[in-house]
Amino acid sequence: MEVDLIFKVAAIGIVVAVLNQVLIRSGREDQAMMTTLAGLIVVLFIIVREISTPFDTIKTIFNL
Amino acid sequence: MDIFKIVIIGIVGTVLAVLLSDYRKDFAMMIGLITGIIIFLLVADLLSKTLTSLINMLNEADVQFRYLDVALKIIGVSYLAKFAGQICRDAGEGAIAIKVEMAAKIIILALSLPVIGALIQLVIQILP
Repeated sequence: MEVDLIFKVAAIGIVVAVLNQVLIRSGREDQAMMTTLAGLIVVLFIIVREISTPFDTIKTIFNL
Repeated sequence: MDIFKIVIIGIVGTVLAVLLSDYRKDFAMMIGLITGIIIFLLVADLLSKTLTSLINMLNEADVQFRYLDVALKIIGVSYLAKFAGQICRDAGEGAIAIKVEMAAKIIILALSLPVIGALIQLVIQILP
């Protein structure tokens, strides 16, 4: 089911937030930033694939 | 029932977005985006069935609705623009949202230009 996508994005967000906190506390700011960037890119890939489906549906429904 | 599914998806998406918005605003925005997409996909099938049956009913009753395709296009444009505008506004970019909606209004004006032209033609024909 597609509802899994919400949980997937939320899980990635929580993991990235925790990793970010841990890495910043241990004084590795640059690695913390890299982790944030990697998480953002992964989520962006998931979203971009999904975002085209409603656009295609609307296009076919309303003959745009 | 589909409505229970939609309600539960909305509540779960809201809880997750609120949970994440304290730590990472960007992920919260993406959860809102994907929740909106999933809810739309759940009702998209019903919407297309309803529209096709409405068009079939109009055809069977022999009602001439000349500008139905223009009306459908305008509804589609406004729905898409509203969706994008709400996402932008939720992420705190009110200026981009207003620009998206203004572009949609211009496109709707351009789409409805033939209808306005036909109306003016009709008025000119009626007036002697």
